[in-house]
Amino acid sequence: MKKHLAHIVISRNTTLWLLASLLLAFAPHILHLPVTLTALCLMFGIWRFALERRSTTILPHRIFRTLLLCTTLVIIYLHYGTLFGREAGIALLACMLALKLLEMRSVRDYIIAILLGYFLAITLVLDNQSLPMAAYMFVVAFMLTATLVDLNLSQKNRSISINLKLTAKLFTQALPVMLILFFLFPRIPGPLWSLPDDAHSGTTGISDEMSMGSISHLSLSNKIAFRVAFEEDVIDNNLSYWRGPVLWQTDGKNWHTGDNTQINREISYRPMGKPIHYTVTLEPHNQKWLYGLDLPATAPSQATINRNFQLVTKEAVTELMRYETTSFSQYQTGPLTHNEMQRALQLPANRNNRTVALGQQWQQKIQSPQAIVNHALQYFNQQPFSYTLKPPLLGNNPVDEFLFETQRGFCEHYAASFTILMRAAGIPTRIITGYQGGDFNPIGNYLIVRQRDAHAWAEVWFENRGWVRVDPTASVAPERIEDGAESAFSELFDRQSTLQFNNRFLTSNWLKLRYGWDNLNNSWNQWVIGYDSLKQSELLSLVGIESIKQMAITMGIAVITVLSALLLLSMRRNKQKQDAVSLIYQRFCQKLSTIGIQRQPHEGPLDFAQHIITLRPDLASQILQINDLYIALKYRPRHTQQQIKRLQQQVQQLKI
Amino acid sequence: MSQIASSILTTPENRDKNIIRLKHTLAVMNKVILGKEQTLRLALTCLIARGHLLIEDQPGVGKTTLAHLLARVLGLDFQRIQFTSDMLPADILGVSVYDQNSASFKFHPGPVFSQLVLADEVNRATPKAQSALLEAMEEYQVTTEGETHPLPSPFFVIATQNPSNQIGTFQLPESQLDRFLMRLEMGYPDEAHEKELLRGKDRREILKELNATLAPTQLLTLQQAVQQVHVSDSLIDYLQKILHFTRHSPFYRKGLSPRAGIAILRCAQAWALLDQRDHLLPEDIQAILPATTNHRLQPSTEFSALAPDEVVSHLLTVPLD
Repeated sequence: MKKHLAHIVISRNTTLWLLASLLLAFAPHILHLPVTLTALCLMFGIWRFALERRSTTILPHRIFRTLLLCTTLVIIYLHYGTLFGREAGIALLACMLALKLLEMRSVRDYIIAILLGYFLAITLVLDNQSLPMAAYMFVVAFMLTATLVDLNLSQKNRSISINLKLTAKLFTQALPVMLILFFLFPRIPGPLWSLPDDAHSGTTGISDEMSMGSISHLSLSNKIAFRVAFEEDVIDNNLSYWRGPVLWQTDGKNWHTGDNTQINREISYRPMGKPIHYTVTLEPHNQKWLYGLDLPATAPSQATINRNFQLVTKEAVTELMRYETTSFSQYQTGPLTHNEMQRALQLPANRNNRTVALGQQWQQKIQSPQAIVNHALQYFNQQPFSYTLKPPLLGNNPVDEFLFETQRGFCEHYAASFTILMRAAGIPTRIITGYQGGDFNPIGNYLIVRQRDAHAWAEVWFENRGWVRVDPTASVAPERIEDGAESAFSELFDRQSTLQFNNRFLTSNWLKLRYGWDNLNNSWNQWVIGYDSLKQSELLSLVGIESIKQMAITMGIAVITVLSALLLLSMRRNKQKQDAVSLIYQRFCQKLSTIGIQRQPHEGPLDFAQHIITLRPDLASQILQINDLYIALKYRPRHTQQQIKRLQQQVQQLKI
Repeated sequence: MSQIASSILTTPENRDKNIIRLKHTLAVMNKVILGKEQTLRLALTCLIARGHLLIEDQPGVGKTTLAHLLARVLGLDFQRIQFTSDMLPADILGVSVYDQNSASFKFHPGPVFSQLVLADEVNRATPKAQSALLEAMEEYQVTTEGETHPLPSPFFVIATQNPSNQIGTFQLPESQLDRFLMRLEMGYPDEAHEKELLRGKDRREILKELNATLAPTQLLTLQQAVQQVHVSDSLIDYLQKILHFTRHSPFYRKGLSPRAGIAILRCAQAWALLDQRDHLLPEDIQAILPATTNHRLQPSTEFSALAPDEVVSHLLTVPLD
């Protein structure tokens, strides 16, 4: 190996290639790394760049480098409290790589730096597995490979076009290996590595607690919560309620699910109307539930339905999950248990007294619970309430302040105050959180539900009907329910649509583009990210492979086949390279054999040329030229690449 | 000093001049011995490759004339030793005789102390006498009674021998045959050349009139230039394949020795030089292959019926690469 590397000359260009590609691999990490570390890494890179610019090979002294190393380690430790784990590990890798730049001297160092660069690039997927990131990583890998190629190209042949061609060739050759590994490499169910807890720490979306303002902050997020493909027609927007956590318990300010001891038993209801079948692709949110259309009837294999009619899972959803389920939009649930009744009427003492008083007043005034509910909805509709993403801050009695003073709120304000009012009026009520609405993507034919579609609504329980969904927000801002969050807050979302796109044509094209892009992302999620152990075994059973063992054997055979094919190819290539001249001469002989002049294996070039010329005197000058060149190349001490080219040309041009 | 001198002598221009003189020499030789271009060229090749020559043929086909001719054109001093069955080593190497005037033994050099020695009918002598000559050929020096006497330079032996089936011959052992770089057969001249020979002057008369066309120093220079002929790796491979072939083929009793390999290479280089080339070609090896191997290779018992030419012809079918 050493001997093999000895003749490689490192040029300044190689270093520049390396620095550029490492910068590319590093760039996305800037978002996560602390500023000090980013600055440090960039500084090391710029330092090396400056050295390269001045064409000096005087690298910092060893002691100095050791000092830098210690400093870096201390900074990482101070920031993360550890040197291991995902975040700290990435920081460590990036810093070590940047430090490596300051001691890079031999070819071996360069190769290590390049390999570490690949590793740094692959850590990018820990944060982001989207299609753009994959494309970006492809660019990074290409650059790193080009650096590797540049390092190995001989001094004479170094040119960008040769390099890029060679790299592209390498990538093309790697493609079948990539596909084989992608499809056949055994997939492990669940997260790939059992990383420390921080691996999937960030929960996104709805949580199982609610306070005033907790949902409205989601409403600015365009991030996708899940996508839904319906088997039949897409449901109407006003039925598009996606059920998440059910909140019972309140202290007047915050709402949570409360006592969980009883709800984990399964329950069923009396469905009515047509069943709705659909498939949800849920983005990981690190919570132990799935979203189902109000009201889910069957649980997918990964989940169960609890007494709240919520789809719950055993493990938090940490990777993209695809599940099929069925819901009914019309239903009748059964009676409440004593405990449930109590919890559905629970009110905190000495909080929101004015609201409670109003509810009690309605209870005395109005007879039937149904009428009380209607009255409350009318109240919301007729009083000067407004629906806003930026509700004012509320104090210790938030519902009182909201109902009687600010009167500006988001869905959680209406759901919470409605629930307090109903409970005060003696009607069992609870809050449901989840999503409402979504955009329909006509290109991919599926519904996109985003974080901004997060919603909270209420359910009241009537003696004869069971739980009934009541959405007070609909009374205040019916357009939110009918047309979705986007239209309700059009001034906030998609400035583009209100800014320049007055032109109808442009607008429609813009929409098409957006839906097309999301469709692409969806396919990426479904087929690339979502290619899990389940899909793999489905695919493999199609070709008759049933077990992991069989797959391992198949993969082994495939790998060995590919490797031996590559080995054979490279051996042949080597041999050819060894004697390009002989190869050209062989072609020359082949050409002559077509006119019946056969070279004997022991026939030397002079004899053969004589042989040809006696048979075909007309070819004499061409043959002699070729022969002279061949002799010079094969039997004389020194020759040039150009001579080989000339020989090749002359053999090609030989007309017989 | 000698190194510097030789490097001056072997500058390209110098070398080319010498090669032209050599070719002229060959042309002159062809006027004396008619219709034997190939044989004469091989003999000259053998000479500039610093090898000794064995000529095997019937009496009267011009073996002695060839030796004389070489001596004349190259301006070498020449001695002829007629080998007989009663010959002693001292008859070849020389003797120490007591000199009464100086009251000591004085070495009287034998006929071997000359630049070109013709050992006529070498297989008529006893092995003892034969080996005396052959040792001198190998060592380029003579050691008698504890004293070493260097032989002149250049030193070149042409030995002739009658075909082995004649009566009263001692066949040279294989080990000693190996010391001859080449073995040539003169053969009868063809019809036209024989007529010319019969019509022309006496060969001896012509020989007497000949002048040297190449000085001994020029010959030495040429001998040095032989080693500078470039041999490409592929030809080394080719030669090794030939050697390998002789060692593993059923045709031969024994394969060629590494010494034979070196001899072939040296000869081929000399042949290339005579062609005014600074690099070796496969044809060079093929040209000298029969002459350099036919005395070294014996057919195996299964193929003992094969003629010597046939034995060697198989070597020429070894593929180049």
